[in-house]
Amino acid sequence: MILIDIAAKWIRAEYARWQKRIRGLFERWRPPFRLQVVDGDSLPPVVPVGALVLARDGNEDWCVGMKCPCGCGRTIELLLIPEAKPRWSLSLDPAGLPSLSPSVFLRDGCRAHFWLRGGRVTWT
Amino acid sequence: MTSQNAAGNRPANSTITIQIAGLDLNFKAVSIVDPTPTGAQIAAAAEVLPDNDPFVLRFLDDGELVPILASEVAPIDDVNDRFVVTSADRAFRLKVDGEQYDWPAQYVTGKTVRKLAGIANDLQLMLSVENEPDTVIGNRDLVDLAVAGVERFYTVHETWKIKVQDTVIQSDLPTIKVRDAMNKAGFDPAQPWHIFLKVAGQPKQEVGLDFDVDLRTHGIEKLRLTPRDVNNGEAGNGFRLLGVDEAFLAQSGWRWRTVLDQGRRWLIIDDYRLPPGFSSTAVAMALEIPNTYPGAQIDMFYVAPVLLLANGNRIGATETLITIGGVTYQRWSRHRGQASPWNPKIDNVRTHLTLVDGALSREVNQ
Ligand SMILES: [Zn+2]
Repeated sequence: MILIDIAAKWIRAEYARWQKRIRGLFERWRPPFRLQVVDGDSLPPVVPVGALVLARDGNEDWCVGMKCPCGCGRTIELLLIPEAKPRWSLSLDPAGLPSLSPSVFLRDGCRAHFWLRGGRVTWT
Repeated sequence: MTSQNAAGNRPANSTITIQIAGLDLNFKAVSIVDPTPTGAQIAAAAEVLPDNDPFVLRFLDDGELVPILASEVAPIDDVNDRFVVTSADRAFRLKVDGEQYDWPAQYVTGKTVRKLAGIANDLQLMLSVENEPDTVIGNRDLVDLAVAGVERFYTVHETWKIKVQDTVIQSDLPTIKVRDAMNKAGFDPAQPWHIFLKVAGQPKQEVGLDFDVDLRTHGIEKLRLTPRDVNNGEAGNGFRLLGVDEAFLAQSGWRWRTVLDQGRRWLIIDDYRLPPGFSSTAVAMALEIPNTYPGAQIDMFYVAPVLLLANGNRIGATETLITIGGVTYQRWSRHRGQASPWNPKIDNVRTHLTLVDGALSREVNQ
């Protein structure tokens, strides 16, 4: 019985390791997320795949939105306004590629947990 | 009271004061050197010449306008008695909420109708026009009373509006609970939401479901909703740093998180690069953020895994081990010197990390 437990644990760990590795490989092929700015405090009804949409109201950045990089189809909205908790910081590198800080963790559904850095997704 | 009685109370040849307005109903005090003026005298006091067909109306408190003939002695009781003087000779009839009023001109503004009928500010003035949809009459809108069938005004309670996300909802009451506004707009209040109330010229305000939104507030814009379905990596376990710290960490490119562990607050940077010469090339770097930070200083630093020098030698004053979130960290007992005490105004995570880097370099450069 103990052996079976150990084996099951090992298989689960290996599976997670491979899943992570495959996701990592996939991220190398995915074009980086690029910033698109829209006017107003809200995201458009449709957020294009591969875009990080920034809703800018006047000179205030309200939120960013993106399609979940896991492919589940869900739109993720992250608040940038200082009053929000949790909130995220958006920065752009010299090439204009967006980074978000801290990481993004979906509470339900696919429970994706990732960082966006330089337009690229790093799974945790 | 009759004009005789009113006049009888005053000595002959005395001056009386009454309120006179034109069609704008802006009454001004005017003096007349006759305690019993006729319609013609009131017209003269209002500077409407006899050639221009003066038309004098007594404006009663209930809004009724009573014509006074040129030869007729006006009944005057009080300094506040009001008269409307115009040069038309014909009154146009209009109705407001079924009450009849005569107006001595072909055109009337919404504001005048409101004054005439004494309409409260929170009521909206409407005009019913045959074969056309009823229209809202604003204060400055001009209505032509000569057009057949346009004389019926009525009042309705003003409807109060607010946007919920991109949906405009109406309310019969001037206040509405956030929960009800969301229901009206088709958002499920049972789901978790971030809800911000936006009012032009005011800082945005996070509100709860039972907050009463006062729709009379000037500049009220919208309830801005965001699904509360995403965490940062801490699953709600983290805490907020100072704005300068968050901005610094955001641009640093590090993976960082804040962790609460048994009442202690930790900033953990997961991939902190070390100078060469240690047993690892990178560590998880933990800084304890006191509850009263930045008043209280950040002291020492903690790394995981435990570090030795690359040659296997131990490092001084790093013997104490603690656990944060189940991971063992090595405490580096390094403190600020007397020469550079903590200054809450300028010191923060960034300045502390420069001390950390200095302490790390010193170990490998000896
Ligand atoms: Zn997903």
